[in-house]
Amino acid sequence: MPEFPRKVLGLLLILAAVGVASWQALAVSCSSPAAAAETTRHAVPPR
Amino acid sequence: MIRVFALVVILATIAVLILVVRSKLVGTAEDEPAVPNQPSPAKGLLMFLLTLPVLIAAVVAMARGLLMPMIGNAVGYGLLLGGAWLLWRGLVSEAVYARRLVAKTPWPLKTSGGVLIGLGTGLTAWLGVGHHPGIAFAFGVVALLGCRLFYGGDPVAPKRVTAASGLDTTDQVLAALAQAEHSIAAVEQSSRDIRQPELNQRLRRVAALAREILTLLEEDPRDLRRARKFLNVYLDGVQRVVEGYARTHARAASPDLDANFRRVLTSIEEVFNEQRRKLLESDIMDLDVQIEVLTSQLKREGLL
Repeated sequence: MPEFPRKVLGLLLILAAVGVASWQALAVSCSSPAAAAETTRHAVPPR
Repeated sequence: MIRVFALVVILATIAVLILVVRSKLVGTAEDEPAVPNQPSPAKGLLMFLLTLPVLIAAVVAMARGLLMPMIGNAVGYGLLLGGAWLLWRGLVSEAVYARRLVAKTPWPLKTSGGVLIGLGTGLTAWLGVGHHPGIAFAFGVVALLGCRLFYGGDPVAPKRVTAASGLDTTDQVLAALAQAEHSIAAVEQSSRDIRQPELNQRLRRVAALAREILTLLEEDPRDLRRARKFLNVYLDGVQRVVEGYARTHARAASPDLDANFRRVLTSIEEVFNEQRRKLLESDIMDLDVQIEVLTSQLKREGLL
């Protein structure tokens, strides 16, 4: 793949993965306690 | 307060993105050297800025008493920060590798950085955001792929050199060049202790000439004997002379010593200039004679 499209695609993928995950993490931390509790649903399975 | 932080991070990220895109779109072959000396700072900064919200998220989660998001964000940010640092070191190492004519294969720093970024992104998406582990894994893979495409791979082949006899002398040449670099750095360090602008200027010129000669030796390192002689006799001698003068100069000023040192520096500079010219003309025989002359002079002055 030529260099320029490769780098543009790479930049877009970085923004889509790292950028989105970062901002989602911040949004979840700042959201309501109910939403934050929902966050732990996948991380900690219910007993 | 968080909104202000977020705004600052967004603006900084946009600025870095503009710089990255601009350097790709506006930069032409005439603007940029064929071999870059330094990696683009915008490329290195991008990952540090993009991951800042995770740090803020970890702090906010801690303040709100959210254990899992706090652990996820904190560990995720650590991995992302480590990955960003490794990517930057990889870019620097790649620039050095591109500049050198003889080099070993560098450590795969960019690949390691990409793996850490992928792990950090996945962990943040899983524990920090609360995505399903499968989705978090996809986040990590996309981040890894993005790093690979944007930053490229690591150099894989060493730049080797063989002597006239056919033997591989890469390690010896690299060791000799590293020792020479060390000597030049020691001369520069000692010159900082000498508070005489004229002598400092001369020493800077001598160091610059020495670096030029090293580059010439690196361009044609087949004759390691010649390189060794220059490195051992010249640079080692210059290093000892400068260090000795800097020590004495710090204790007491002596006009005789200053004059003597000035004379030696002038000789060294002249001979270095001559060396460079001869190297450019590949006149090896004359180089050896010049080395002998300078050695005798340094011995006569009691400096070797």
